[in-house]
Amino acid sequence: MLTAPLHQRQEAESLAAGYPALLAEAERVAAVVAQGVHGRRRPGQGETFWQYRNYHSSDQANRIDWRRSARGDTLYVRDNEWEVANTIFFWRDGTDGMDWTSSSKFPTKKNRASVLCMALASLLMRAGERCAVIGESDHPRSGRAGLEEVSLRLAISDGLTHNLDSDIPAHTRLVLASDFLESPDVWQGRLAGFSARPAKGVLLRIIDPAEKQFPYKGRMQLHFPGLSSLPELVIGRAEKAREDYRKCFKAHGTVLSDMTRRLGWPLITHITDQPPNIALTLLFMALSGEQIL
Amino acid sequence: MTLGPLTFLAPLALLGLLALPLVWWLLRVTPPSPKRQPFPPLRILQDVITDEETPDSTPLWLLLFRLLMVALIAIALARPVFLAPETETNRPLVLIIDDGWDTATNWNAAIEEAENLVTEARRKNFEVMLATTVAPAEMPIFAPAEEALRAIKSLSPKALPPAHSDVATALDNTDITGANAVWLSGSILTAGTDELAIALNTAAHSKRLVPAGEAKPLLPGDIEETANGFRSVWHRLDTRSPRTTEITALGRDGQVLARGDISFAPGESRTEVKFELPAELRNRVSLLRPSDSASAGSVRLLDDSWGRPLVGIITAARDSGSPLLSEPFYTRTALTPYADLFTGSLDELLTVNPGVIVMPDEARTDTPELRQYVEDGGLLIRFSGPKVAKRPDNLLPVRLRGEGREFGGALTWEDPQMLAPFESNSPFFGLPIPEDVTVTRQIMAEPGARTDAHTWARLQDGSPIVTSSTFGNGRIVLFHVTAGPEWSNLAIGGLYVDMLRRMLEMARSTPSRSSDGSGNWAPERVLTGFGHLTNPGIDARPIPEAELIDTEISRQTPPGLYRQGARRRALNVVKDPESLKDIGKLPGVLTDTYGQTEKRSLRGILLALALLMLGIDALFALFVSGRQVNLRPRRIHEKIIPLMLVSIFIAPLPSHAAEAGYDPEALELHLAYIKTGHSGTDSLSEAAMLGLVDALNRRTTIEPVGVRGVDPETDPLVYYPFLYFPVKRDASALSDVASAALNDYMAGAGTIVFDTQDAGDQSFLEGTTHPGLARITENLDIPRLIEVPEDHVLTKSFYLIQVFPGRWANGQVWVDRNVNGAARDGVSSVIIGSNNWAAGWAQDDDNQPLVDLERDIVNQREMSLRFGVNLAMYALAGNYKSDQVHAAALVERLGRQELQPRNPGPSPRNGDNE
Repeated sequence: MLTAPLHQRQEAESLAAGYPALLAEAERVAAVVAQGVHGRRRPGQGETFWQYRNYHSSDQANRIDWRRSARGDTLYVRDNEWEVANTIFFWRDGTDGMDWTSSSKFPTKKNRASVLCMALASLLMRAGERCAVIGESDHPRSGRAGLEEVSLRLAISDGLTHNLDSDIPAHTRLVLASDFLESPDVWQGRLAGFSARPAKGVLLRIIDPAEKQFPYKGRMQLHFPGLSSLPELVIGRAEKAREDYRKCFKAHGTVLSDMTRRLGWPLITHITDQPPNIALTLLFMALSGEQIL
Repeated sequence: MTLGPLTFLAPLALLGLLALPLVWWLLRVTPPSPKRQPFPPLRILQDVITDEETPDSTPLWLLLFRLLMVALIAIALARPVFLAPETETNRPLVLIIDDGWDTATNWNAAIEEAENLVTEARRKNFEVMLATTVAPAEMPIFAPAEEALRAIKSLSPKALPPAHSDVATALDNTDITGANAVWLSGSILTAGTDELAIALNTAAHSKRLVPAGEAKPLLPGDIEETANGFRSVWHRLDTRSPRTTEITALGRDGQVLARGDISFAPGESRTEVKFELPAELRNRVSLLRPSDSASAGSVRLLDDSWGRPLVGIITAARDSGSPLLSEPFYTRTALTPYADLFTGSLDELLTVNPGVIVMPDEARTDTPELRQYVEDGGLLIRFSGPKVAKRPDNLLPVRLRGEGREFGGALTWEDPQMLAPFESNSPFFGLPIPEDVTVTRQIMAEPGARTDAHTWARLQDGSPIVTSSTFGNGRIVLFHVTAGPEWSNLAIGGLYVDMLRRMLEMARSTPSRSSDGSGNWAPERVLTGFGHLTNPGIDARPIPEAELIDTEISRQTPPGLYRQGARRRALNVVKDPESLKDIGKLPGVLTDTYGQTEKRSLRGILLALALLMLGIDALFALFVSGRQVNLRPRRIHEKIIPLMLVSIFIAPLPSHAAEAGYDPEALELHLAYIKTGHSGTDSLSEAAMLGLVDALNRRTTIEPVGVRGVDPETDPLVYYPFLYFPVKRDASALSDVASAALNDYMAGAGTIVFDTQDAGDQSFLEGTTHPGLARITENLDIPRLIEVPEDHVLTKSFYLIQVFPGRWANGQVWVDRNVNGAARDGVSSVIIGSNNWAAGWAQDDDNQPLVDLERDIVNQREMSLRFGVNLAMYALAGNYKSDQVHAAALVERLGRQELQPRNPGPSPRNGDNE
């Protein structure tokens, strides 16, 4: 179990090694944050303890830390670090349909999604961002240890769909990796839900080449991978259905991209027979770019 | 059923072809099964596929392919046989089978061939005339094939040569003109081979099968003892190809004594193999045989004439300075090529226990030891001379008349006498007598019937010159002349050598009373055609003594071992391998090699083809159903190649580490004990070794720096002078690795001190085996042991001690019996005791003794430590102290005070100052 994540980790690290550390722009605090500096190292609004300082008459009384003050004669106020780092939540679809590849030459869609998410997390954490996996991590982390944690989660996560419903802070950003083969309406509902929190993010769509090209010939009995309620489908001459299928698949993609553009979620499509670098670059540009401001 | 050149042996199976239409129909009806394929975007696909699936039928070419496959199987099951037109002649069969020893190596092929031929004849309902060549019937007749088949099944090769001319004669009396003749021949050419070929030519069609070169027997040639073994010559008949095989030398009980490889280069018919064997083993060799040539002709039986006996020659104390005049010189020279000689006084000779003792007159003696030697079965060859002439003794075969007689001298009347031809009851019978052997002086035997019976050789006037009689279990032979040329020139001729050799043969067999060199040779074990020894059959007859040398092997005198009393003679199949010729090609007869008939059956080929098609069909089936077949085993490569690389680079690492540099352990001396895994025992051993280290450092120049507990399985042992090995009664056996390591350690001059630590229990364990020690020493090379003798080095290597106490003092201590153990400098490889020395030596951190001792002797702890010091000194310095360094103290103990008693008692001295 642990060797597979290790393998993916190495792949992801080597992928991320080629990129400069890039700070995702802080959308919410854009006005006050100096470009590229993330560790504020000064007291401010945040969740993490920063320092105790003497009580000043300008402070509100309820900010006094009574536990600390009780140990001496002076009153102390507890300051938290001014947190401006973005928190990025990942979700990698782990359904049976993702855990499939058409050929032993390509990684499974799930693996490729994991690798891309890990690489992205590695880059983001190097720049000081905090990352987490939706429904799996207890709280966002940063730094080396955080990367280990997030990578492990990404690698072994079941990626259940209802993880998407778990509680996330407002104004976080999301990276959702899936094949988005469900009906676009389902996804429209989910994305609208996120936008209402408010939270925005990037969609990573992973496609197996066979899904796009439908290379099958002859008599085929097609079924959904793993356990599924979908009935099996027997085709007498698979090659005859190829053109129709391709048309349908393309239409599905178009509907999907139209829908996401409308909602302001960039959709990055990656086919598993291509090197993952391109997709990673696109993901970065999307996360740091203007389009999701 | 016959169809052109094809014959079906089971034509009913062709009905299987009727199933073809059924197969056709089935294949048409059943489409190829769909390929199951997981496909995630199934939902999208669902929208596309709306029409009903259209079944895809099997393509026509695959249909035909499969029909062909089924047809092939049906045809194969019908057992088709492809018959060449030449054998398709419908005539009775004349079958000649060579069943001599030269066919034995090829017997299976020959019998198979015969059965095939006769089965075919039976199928065609023809009669068969079967003739074997070793013991041919007077009048072979045509008989039903069924009978011939039964006869063939009961055939086996004989250990005799084929008698081709007899068969030829028999065939001449028979009309075989209307028959096919097949001769399954052996390998050797006999006198009648050509006759038989001519006789067979009268048949309508004749064919001869010969074995391939590899299947022809190898022939043993001369065999000769060498100083450190023997060598044996081997011949072969067919020289075309190279041939390599192994010669096995077997003992009398069938035990393999030696193996040697022989190889013939192409064109070479003779090769030689050398065996290196100690004389004792060599003399036990009784049979040689090649491993791949199972034939009586390839077996070399050895008899009494084999082996080099050990001959002792007694020399007188005052041997003259001129060797040519010394009496034993001629005997020694004559015997050197045939025996291992040992010269010395009688006492020295008796210790090596020679088979023969030669006693010249000069060294005449009749001590009880010599009498005992002869009575126990030794052979004493003695020569006459002035001493015997003057005073006869008891060790004589016949009574002597005292003074001898002289002839041919200046003052005698008679001429020098020549030898008379040997009589048939003499062991010298058959030796040619040269003209120039004369006797000028001899010792006379008392005439009488007894003397006559015991005489082996006479002069022409009838007076005995060699007499012999049994004596106890042994035998005495007396030459009535001197061993040298003084009385006769017998000693300087070739006859002398031959006579002595004949006597050597007697020395080997256990002498018995009955044997007096006469009687018949009875067959004891005879050879089968395959070269195995078995009991003689009813045909075998004894051979009279006189005929043995010229006996040819025959049914009455089969090859094998013959016995006369205690003597044994071998009658080998092949006497002169050079004279045997390969049978080769014969004029007028078609010659072929064995093993041709079988290939005509097409069944195997057809079935193989059908199986191959079945395999291909599986691929086709995949192809038709749209499955991609990836035949490249990519995944395996991915995993195996790194594994192989890793194993290549990792595996040699430990040995590199071991070779690199030296072990620091080797720089300083450590004492070591063997870890038993029992914590109490181990900690006591460790404390004991520390105590001993302390004592050695304080008292001697041995300065060990520490103690090691070792596990013989894993730790290197070579650095430790001795290993203290406490052995409990419940100790388990050592592993093979540990045993090997300890054996290496002992072979490399290490000493293992076994301590059973149970001397206190000896009173009730007396005489029982120590189970732990028995298990542990099971695979160790423990030498023969002896209780430490009083003068053993262990008693004086540092202190003078006679007891070796530990917790107890009365346990026995055992060491190697052989004090001068080779390459060990006299150090015993094991010391076994039960005194629990660890208890005596053990001390705690404050140098206080750990264990209470039993006080069997005064000052037991000190004596125990002294033994420990002696032990370490002994293991390190060997027999260095076995010399007389303690002479002074020893003499003083004897009470002789004048030798300056410098040390008033046993005292420690520095061992390295000597």
